[in-house]
Amino acid sequence: MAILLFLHFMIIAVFLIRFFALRDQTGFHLGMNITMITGGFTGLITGAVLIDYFPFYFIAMTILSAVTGACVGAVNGLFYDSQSALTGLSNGLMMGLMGPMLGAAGDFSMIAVVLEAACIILMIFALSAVPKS
Amino acid sequence: MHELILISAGLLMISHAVFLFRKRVLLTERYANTIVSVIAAGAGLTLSLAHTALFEGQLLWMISGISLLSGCLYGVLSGYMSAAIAGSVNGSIGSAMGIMTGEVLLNPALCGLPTQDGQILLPLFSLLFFILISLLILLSYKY
Repeated sequence: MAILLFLHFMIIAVFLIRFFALRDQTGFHLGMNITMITGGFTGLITGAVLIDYFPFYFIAMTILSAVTGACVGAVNGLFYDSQSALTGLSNGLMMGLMGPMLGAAGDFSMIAVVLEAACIILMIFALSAVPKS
Repeated sequence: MHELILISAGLLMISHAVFLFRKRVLLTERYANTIVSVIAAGAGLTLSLAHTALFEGQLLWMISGISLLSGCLYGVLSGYMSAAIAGSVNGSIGSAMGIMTGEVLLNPALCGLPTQDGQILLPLFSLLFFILISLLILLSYKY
């Protein structure tokens, strides 16, 4: 499952570079939605994978995944404006708190794969919606 | 310790209400939406985490209702009805998430996890997050 986390961060980095290149043509409403997608899914997948490896450190893993989601959301939001950054910070932290619970309650880790697929599909939708905004 | 967290979150919420009411003429609709939803989410999370640990899972309807109504009150104070809707939705989401996390902290066997030490860390972390959010919002009132 560690390869999934690595893959997720690589995909997020590629999409963030693409969004950074397109940041001048992106409307503020689409920017806010993109921020929520990246921060939320990063928090969820990080929590769901990390709780598989370290089930004895539930609290530390919850805080770590929350901080990761909040950082990714805030960094992506700063491409657009400060209100998007604030929304991404809050949403990433919320989803990061939920991630370890989701990973621990569903025993098998298939849920991380499904979340990863949903994340990629939503990012492609968002990327294709940029020229219209 | 949990009482301190609960009281300081309440004080922060009251000061946010005062600031929102004072600065309501400066707010545009999008800005009001953003700050009301963020304040409501952070307040609901902190309040319900501390409350669940303090009362050991009793009186959960009370804290959920307080979070929802405080989000609605912030929106009404800022003067936009859409902000009231966004605030109540985000407040109820934040309080639901805080209640879930607090119940798992009280009884980790709900998720099939072993018992853990340091259960004060998570409410403390959420209070720190709420203070950070409050500082960012108070700084952003200038512009």
